[in-house]
Amino acid sequence: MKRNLLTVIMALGMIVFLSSCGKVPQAEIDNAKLAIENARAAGSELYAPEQFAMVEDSMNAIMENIEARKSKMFKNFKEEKAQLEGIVLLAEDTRLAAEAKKQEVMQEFQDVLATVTTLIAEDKDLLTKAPKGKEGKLALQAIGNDIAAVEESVSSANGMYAEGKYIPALDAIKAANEKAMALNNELKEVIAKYNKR
Amino acid sequence: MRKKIIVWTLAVILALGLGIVAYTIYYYETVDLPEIEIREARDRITQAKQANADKYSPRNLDLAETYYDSAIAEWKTQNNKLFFLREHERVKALAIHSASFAGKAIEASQTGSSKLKDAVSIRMHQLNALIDEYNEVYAHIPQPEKTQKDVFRGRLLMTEAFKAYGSGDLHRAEETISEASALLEPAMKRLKSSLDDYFKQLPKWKEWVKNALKRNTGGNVLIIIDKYAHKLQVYKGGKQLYTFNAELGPNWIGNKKYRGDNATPEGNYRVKAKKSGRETKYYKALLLDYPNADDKQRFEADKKTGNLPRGAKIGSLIEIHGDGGKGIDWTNGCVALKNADMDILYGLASVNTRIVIVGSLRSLNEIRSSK
Repeated sequence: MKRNLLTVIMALGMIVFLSSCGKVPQAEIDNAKLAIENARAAGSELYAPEQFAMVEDSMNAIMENIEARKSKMFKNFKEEKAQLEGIVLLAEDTRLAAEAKKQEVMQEFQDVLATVTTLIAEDKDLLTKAPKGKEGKLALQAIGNDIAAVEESVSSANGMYAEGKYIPALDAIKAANEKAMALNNELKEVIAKYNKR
Repeated sequence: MRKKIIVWTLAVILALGLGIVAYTIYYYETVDLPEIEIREARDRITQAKQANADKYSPRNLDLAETYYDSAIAEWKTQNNKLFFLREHERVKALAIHSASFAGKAIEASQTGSSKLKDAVSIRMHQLNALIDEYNEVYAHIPQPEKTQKDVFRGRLLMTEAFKAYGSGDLHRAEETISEASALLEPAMKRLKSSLDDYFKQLPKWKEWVKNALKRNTGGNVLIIIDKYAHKLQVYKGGKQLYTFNAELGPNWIGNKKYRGDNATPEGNYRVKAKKSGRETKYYKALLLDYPNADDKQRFEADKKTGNLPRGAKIGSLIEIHGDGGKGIDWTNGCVALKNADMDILYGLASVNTRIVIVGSLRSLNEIRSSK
């Protein structure tokens, strides 16, 4: 009888022990949240939006699982702990991807800026080289105004870039580059026409 | 007796313990956790974000996220209580609210995105049509510097808008289109208005041409110059023999008012002299009898009314000459032809050959519908 009683008491003790032994992996949660914030700060929402959304969604799912586990009799957070470690890695990947994309956009902006700057300088040079006669004078004057407008656009794109708006800045500088290129061709054409005498 | 009491006490404790264990097991087996509701809310929030609800329905998305966070916080609170005191109904209610707002955000985003896409696309088409009209009707006409600048900047912004639209950034595309339209539409309005004003003289121009053609009988040669079309037509005995491309002064819209305005005059003229060799620096030339009596009268009237400065001079030496074919309007008001065309015209024309110079032979509607 005594032995039976002891067995039951031990079983009860085991149940109590097992049902309360799992501890919420707070350190892992904090690490994962920090990694996500780092990814956000690196501009992941803009430069790696899909990847970042996936990381956020996964983090929320893990947090839900943790609460679900807490609601159950036997708490074991081993799986969530591993998942949270995975989130840290994923968030870090996302941060790196966002930074790479941002760098790529910034580099492309700088490349196009260099091209458009060269084109504008070339356009201005062509303008000064153009004959000063009455023929084409007004056309060249109009192109001069257009070059000034492209310069204005480049300056506005630079402003956006300085504010960290790299994607709109890139679109603006690309548009300016297209126009500068068109002007370059037009200018060469006008000069060629002028010289055709 | 004492032993019996101990046994009974232990039995009661054991029964109680077993009861508690049984209840605990029963509770955990039957507890209705809010997992489904929470997951549903999260899934919908994710969908809403994918649908760009932060742009199209930020309030609903914000509410959905707030309710979701509250549901999780409430769940945590409940989990911190003793298991038999836990209550999940509020967690579920919050999650359901969250899912509902996320659903609204998805719907609003899908509708908003589709509407915005349509609106942006329509605006882009409208402005493109405006740019096409500019290219076809107005690009080659003289225009004020501001108009020219506005049109150029507007077109540049349209390129930017296309790029934003292409990358799916509809809001930025919309903003850029607004900026472009603020430049393009007033500029086009100004151009239309000035061209409409100019074309009010069309009946007069048509009358000149009609009368000239009526008199173009026998072996007489008649030269008609359509400034808008940049064409020079040659008639003989009422029959059109040739049409040549013509280049004019850069300020060719409107009548010539004074010397140096780079405008080509409009009116009825005659060839005053034929020049070739050293007599002209433009290959061959037909000198017009500009200014005629009408031109002189108009010039004096303009001076009297103050439309022209006192020192202004009427100008002269308006010719049809060679060295054209540059593709631009470059003369000081003369009409330039390619040398090969000038050879033909020079051969046909003689002193006194009638020349009619008009703004246009066709109405603006005819011009626009032919484009």
